[in-house]
Amino acid sequence: MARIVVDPVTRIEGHLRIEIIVDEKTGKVVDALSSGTMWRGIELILRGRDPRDAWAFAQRICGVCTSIHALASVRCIEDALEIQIPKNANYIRNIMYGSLQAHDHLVHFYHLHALDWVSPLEALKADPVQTAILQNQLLEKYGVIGELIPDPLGRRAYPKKFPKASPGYFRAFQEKIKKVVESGQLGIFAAHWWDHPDYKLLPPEVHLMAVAHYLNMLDVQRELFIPQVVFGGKNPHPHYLVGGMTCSISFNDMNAPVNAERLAVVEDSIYTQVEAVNLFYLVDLLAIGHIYVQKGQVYGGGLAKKRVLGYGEFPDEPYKGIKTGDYHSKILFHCNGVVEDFAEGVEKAKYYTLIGKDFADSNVIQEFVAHSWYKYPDETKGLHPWDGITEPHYTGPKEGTKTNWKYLDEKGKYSWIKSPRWKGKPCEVGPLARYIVTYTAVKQGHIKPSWMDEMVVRQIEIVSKVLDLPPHVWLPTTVGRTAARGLEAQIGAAANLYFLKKLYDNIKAGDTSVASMEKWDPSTWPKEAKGIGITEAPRGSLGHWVIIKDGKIANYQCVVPTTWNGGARDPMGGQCAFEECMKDSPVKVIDKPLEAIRGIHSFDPCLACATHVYDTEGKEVVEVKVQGSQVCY
Amino acid sequence: MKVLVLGVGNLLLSDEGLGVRVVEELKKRYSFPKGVELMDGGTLGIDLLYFMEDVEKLLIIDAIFGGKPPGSLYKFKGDEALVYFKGKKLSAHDIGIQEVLALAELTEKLPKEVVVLGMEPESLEISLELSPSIKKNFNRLLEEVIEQLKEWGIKVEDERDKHYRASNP
Repeated sequence: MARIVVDPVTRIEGHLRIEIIVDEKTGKVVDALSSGTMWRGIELILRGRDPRDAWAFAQRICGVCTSIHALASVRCIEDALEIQIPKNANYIRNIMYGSLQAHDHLVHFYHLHALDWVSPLEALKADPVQTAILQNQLLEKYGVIGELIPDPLGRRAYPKKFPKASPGYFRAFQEKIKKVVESGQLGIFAAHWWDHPDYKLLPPEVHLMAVAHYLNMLDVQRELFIPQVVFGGKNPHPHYLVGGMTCSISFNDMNAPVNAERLAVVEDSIYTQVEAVNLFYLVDLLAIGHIYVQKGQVYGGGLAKKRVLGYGEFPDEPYKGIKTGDYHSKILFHCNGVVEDFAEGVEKAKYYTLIGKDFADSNVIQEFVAHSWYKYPDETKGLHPWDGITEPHYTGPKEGTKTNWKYLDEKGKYSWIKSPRWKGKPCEVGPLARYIVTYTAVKQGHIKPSWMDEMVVRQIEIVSKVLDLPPHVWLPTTVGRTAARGLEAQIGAAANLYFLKKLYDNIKAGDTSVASMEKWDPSTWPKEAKGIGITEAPRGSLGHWVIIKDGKIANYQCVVPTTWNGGARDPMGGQCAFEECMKDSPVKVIDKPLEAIRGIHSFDPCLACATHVYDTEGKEVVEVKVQGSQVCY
Repeated sequence: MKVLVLGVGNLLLSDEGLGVRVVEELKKRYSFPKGVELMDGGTLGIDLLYFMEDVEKLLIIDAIFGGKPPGSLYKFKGDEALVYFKGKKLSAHDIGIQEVLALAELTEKLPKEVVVLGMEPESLEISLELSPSIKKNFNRLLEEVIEQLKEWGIKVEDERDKHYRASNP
């Protein structure tokens, strides 16, 4: 047995360390550990503060998807104080959310994940003429998926952003890559295992196409989050408001934050999202994924095969509260539920719905700390977020010193990430989880599908046809997790067109209200109130829980997606999605565990919510340690 | 000429957020000519790339682990600044700047001149307050920023002077 350490895992937001125990003969991963420095203490900052300010602090938890914490926070306070926001605010929040999804997913695929699948070194071997021919063939072959987006505005017949399928385009990018490679300083391309056999799976032309788009999308990506800037006033850290939004609407005042001119900019950005997702992202994804699956890479599902969870998103219209259940009666994306055993087939999978009251039930969602560096009075039990406590209790590693770890102690405490559980069981969250829940809910007839649910099902059916495999085989895999993210970016762009049409129609009907201020004054609040704010962050289900007493915050807890996916083991022995995924990914080259890293990256891990609080010194950029077989695990 | 003064860090972790605090204070105390942008970069990742566009001179303010006593001032210029980005991890945040600048280099958008200014943090505990050693030396850091901008030929006006002139014509 060999014990391999990768610390830190690069190309993620924040700090993550993994350790895997591999059988050198078979490449089978016997056990895996993931440890993150997600030191959370938002409640320490928020306690005693005005609940109307909570969103501004909460969005500082993470600089990468700032607006999502603001969204969860305003929903949470509005739930506590029973505030219903105006229609325009709901549409605007949805467009900001959909833009985050489209932007974040696309950037993750090209700039944080693509180099696990394609290599700039292989791209140098490609023939630019053949690459141009291939690009056209792929647009022809996979382009049909783009037709799934309904266009309620019907304004753009010809795309402005279209992949250039000319030899000159690819030659220019190839020259650029060559310059970087020949300089001997790989820069952004450094610290990769380019000699790993998996980089030989694709023909050089696919490598060149994808790496060219990697570079091309660096310029395009910034156009995708323009709606956040227009409606939120700025980026990063856009403005939200308890009760609605701050961006007043006027078609007569050219200085108004939202006017005809600015809406035209938003519209243009949304069409760019549609094109970037349809013509670049999805086509590249299918081209790469298809070959990987054909070459037998249908592993890495791990926990997704066994249990996934979602909260639900895209309220079609304003709702009266979350814990009341009204949020879930209004949503378009019915990923609210838990699905077990999807890998056995959609008919055999077990579906459990998750609605408003479940989030208030102290037995449904709990966080454990038995293996995390925190202290609870009784660590065999979990705590509901309303009762949550964060008391750090650092114990150090199994081998090494407190500041210089050799190996972590999986039998004791080994991570700064708590362990959230659904009824005591670990669940995977994220785009793949949302797709599995929605697909199962529709196929088993648990819900009345919205247009969005139907689009999800059609997307899955198209990909199943391309891969010639049923969804329960390809979805719960590393390829499937990456594919679901791309499909969801398309949902984001489609939702933006849909809600922009609704916003136009509502403004035209004379409604320009963006905020409900009846309950702004604390004298209108109850003495004590509890609230729940839920959303689907790009990386998975996100929840904020608040208790307000005498107009001030008495407790505030956030349960973030990467705690679900990357948290430590629970006292019952349940392992998180990162660990299960690595256990489900055989390693070909022992000291280059690309399969494990690709699996981890497929979750889009985000631990930016923290820094190296205790573990700052002496870390190399990438450190891979292999424990020899003489020291048996 | 476009100049970007970029404060980075996490406000929730005391001294980790000193870069952001400096930008806030600069905005309060001084007025800057057109072409100089002050930005609270938070703990932003790849999105920062967008703000690098057309920037000729970039001044980054951050908490820096350099091994000196808390409150010590650091300034990296030229090749030294590259050490900050490419060498050991001196910044408390993992993401962002290093990768963003590497990407900027790749897309030929790297600012012509990059200077990094910062201080050794005392505390990274959960708090909105800066620690005593940072507070003590905070004005020195502000002065360094102004000094650097002057070196670049930028005229910075003290808001207090302006008020004084306004009330004493």
